[in-house]
Amino acid sequence: MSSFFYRPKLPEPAPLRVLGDTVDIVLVGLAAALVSVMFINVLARAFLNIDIAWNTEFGEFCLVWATFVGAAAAARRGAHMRISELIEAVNPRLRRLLEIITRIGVLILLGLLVWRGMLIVNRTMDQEMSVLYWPVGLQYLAMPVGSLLTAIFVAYDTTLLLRGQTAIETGVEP
Amino acid sequence: MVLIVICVLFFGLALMGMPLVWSLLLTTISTIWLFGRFYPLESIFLTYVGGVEPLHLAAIPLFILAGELISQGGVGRRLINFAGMLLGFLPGGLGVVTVGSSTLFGAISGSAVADSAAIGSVMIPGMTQKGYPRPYSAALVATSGTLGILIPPSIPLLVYGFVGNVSVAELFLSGIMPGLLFAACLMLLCVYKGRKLGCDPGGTRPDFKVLRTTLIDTLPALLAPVIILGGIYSGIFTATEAAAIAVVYGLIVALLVYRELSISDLPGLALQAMITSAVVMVVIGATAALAWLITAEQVPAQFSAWIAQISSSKWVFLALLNILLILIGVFLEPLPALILTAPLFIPTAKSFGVDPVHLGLIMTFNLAIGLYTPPVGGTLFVAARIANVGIGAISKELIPMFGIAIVVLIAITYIEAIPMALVWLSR
Repeated sequence: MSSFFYRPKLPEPAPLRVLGDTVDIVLVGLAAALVSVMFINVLARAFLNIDIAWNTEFGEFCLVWATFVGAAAAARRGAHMRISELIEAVNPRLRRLLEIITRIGVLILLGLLVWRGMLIVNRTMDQEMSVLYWPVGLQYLAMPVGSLLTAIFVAYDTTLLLRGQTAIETGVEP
Repeated sequence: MVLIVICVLFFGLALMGMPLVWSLLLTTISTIWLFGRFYPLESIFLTYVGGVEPLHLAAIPLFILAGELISQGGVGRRLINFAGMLLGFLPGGLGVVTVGSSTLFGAISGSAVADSAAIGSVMIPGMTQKGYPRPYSAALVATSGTLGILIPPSIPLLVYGFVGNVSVAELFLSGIMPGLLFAACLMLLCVYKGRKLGCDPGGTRPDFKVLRTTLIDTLPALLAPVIILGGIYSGIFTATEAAAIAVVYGLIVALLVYRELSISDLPGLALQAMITSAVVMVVIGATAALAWLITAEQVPAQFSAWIAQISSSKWVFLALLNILLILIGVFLEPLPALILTAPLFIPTAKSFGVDPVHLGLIMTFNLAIGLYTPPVGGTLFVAARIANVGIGAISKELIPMFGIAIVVLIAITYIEAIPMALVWLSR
């Protein structure tokens, strides 16, 4: 399984590595759940001509969690879509400065997402989904949790930049 | 005014290298603060989550996963064999085969980069061995890989359909004729090049027996588009359900039929697909938040009025649209470019009487050109890496292919029937 887990050239501290690996395993689990739920849905509809009522709610639940947890895994790998041409063209010192400034901006934003996200979660915890009877807040929880995980990986990357190291290999180069 | 502030903020942040998802959210929040609007942050953030919630969006991770399974599962090589049998006898045969197999692969995969990688990894070494210059092979692979997002299924068309609330089945139909037209034009170029270079004069037609064995070996791969597209158009299942079926079909073909993947490869593929999809999904969510703001501020209406001031002609509008998109396409990959601009362009296009399906196809074809426009682009990088040549050398070889792409772009923009005839028939 060694090729499955993400191991950057500069080894991550153990707690971060364990956290990142857990995120990856959860993602694979969500992928399996999503594929199964969608495929069972097609089979039931096409062959038995029935709609499984909980399917849509459970599918959306998996999709939302997979998206925000996946965003954290992407942040760990520096895989989020961005325009890097300009900062690659400027001199290394300015580039490092810009990379640090934008990351601090991102961290402030992620803080807002966690804080306000938790307010949304608290307010929707007593609403129930119409078929599963799960609290709606449990679904919205994906956003603050995913943002918190993302913030951890971005913060680690920022500390590396501040110390003058780069952990993330940027983009595809010819 | 709001639109200008939004553009300045967004491009400022994005060009500083901030990932698009966070540039979008920060732009939204800052604009609200700057204009002293009292939209609560919670409703912006709820739109961000709500933007990725609808279950039909599951088609995005599923089609990406299906693409991974199919490209890693030995399908590419078999499609190349098949195309080689059918087209290899022509002058410039290997080039024609490259285009042909990219077209076939495009009918299974919805990603241009996957198409270029799968076909290029076999065809570029093959063409080099035959005596083709590497930059030419790389340019051809980079260009014909974009057939992956024109021939259905297509992830960009799917995303455009979701973002713009346009029928995905109709969008897929609209891609078929432009894709085939573009492929045919590229094949003609290959025949001409093959004659001119003199390294690939073509061979004899294959005999029936060989053709039959190759066909049988390729059949499981060729059945995929029949099942996926046949299912969508016969109304048996939706595009999202088709994506689930494509995954299961991909699993069966890769694990049991061709046996080029084992169970232990699956977690890694699933993880990769989920990360790729999450990156796209959060941008969709963040755009939903920004779109909420620009709709509340009536920006699309103002934008339409502004364009209408320049000209009231549909033809001029389409010309402006294409020029703007080519510029955007140089900087942005098709997916983020579509997600970002569709909410603004669709209402404007409607006011000019442009069908949203036609608009989606124009946008996708146009932005696909950006994939092989130097200095940066998805298929360009993949092809350059496989061929191990510089972007500069490829650029020269790309010139005739750009010419073809622009001519086809003009044709599909102004001869509405090319993309739309099949759609009209289906309505």
